[in-house]
Amino acid sequence: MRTTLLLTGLLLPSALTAQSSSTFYAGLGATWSSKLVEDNIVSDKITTQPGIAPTIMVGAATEVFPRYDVGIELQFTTGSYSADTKGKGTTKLGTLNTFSASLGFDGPLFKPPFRWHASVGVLKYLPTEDTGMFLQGGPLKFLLGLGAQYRRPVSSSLDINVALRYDFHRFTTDELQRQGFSQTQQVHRVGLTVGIAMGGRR
Amino acid sequence: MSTRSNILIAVSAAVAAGACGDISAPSRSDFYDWRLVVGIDSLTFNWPEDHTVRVWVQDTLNMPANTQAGIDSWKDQFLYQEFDAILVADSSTADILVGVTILPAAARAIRLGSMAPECIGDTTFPPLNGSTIVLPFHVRVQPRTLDPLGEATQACLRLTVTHELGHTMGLFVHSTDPNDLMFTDPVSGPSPRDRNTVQQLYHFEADLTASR
Repeated sequence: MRTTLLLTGLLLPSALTAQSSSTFYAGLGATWSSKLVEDNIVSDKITTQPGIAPTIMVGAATEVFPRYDVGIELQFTTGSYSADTKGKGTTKLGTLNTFSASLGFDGPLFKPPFRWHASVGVLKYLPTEDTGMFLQGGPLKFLLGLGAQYRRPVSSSLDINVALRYDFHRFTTDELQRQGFSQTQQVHRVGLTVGIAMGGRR
Repeated sequence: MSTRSNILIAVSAAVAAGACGDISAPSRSDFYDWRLVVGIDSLTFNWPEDHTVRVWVQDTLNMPANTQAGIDSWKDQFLYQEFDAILVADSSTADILVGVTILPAAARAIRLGSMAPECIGDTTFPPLNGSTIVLPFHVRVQPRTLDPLGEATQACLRLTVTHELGHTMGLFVHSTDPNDLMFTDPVSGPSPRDRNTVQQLYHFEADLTASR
């Protein structure tokens, strides 16, 4: 799976540049994430969750069937994460970055300029400090995504592009497993970016 | 393939992947008692989460590095930054003082069966003023070899100061398991039992506070 994604990532950009129907887009926005871990120590219930994270997204897609595109999308988020102990307060645990690369498919949704988006990819957690649950580093996780896109021309060659993204992965870390945590946590993320798009279908 | 079919497939895949249960926390049931017994009371002490513990170390025999390794070792046992400590240069503001006793060479050659061959250490519990510990804690380590900078003695000093730091964190009682760092004469650690114990300790309501 990883090899396939890697090859796709390497080969797709050159294929895209050769296609006149290729679309390129980039955007800035924010991503919300659900909790990463819920823990109970003595009578304390502790929930660890990332804060809303500024997000940068770039992507490229090309038409493979009439009205249907395939493409790659890269997303980087950077924000804080914290542990909330119910009834006692919140501890900031540091800065948590994530990087994701996904292979996406999109097609018409309802009517233009709306489009749906579905993706598979990988997500890497990149904590700035290897401490706590990230003592042995950030994990690499598989990702499934859904989304919607709105694109509207603002000039002869440039469009405004609004992308709503939802993705899902299962979370744990080597350190959590070493400390006896079993199974994994389902993590949902929702992101909204606003940016530009050019080329391809308008 | 219709738009509706595509969306249904993607939603089904996401639902299937999310159908399993959530992460499950460990029970941490394997731990030892840490409490200080005073009369009929069993007292718990832990450093407040918003307090960075200040540790002064006598700058000899590589002890600042060994103490820092001990601090890091304890910090690594926590998931939520419940404990933090730093080395400070000013002993008058320190919460913990780590000193080194170096005996004359002749004395170091003496071996007593009940003591570790390379080094020993101890922590002096500060006086209590009601329910307040009057800081600082005094930790003392003592090499017992002719080569205190040798590998074995340095490893012993590092392990011993980490053990003594455990006492200053509120682990006032020795473990009875030789695999634990807080065993009387430790050989390794912190162990999973040390980790469970210190994690529980730092989520327990403290009976004692600390003040200068």
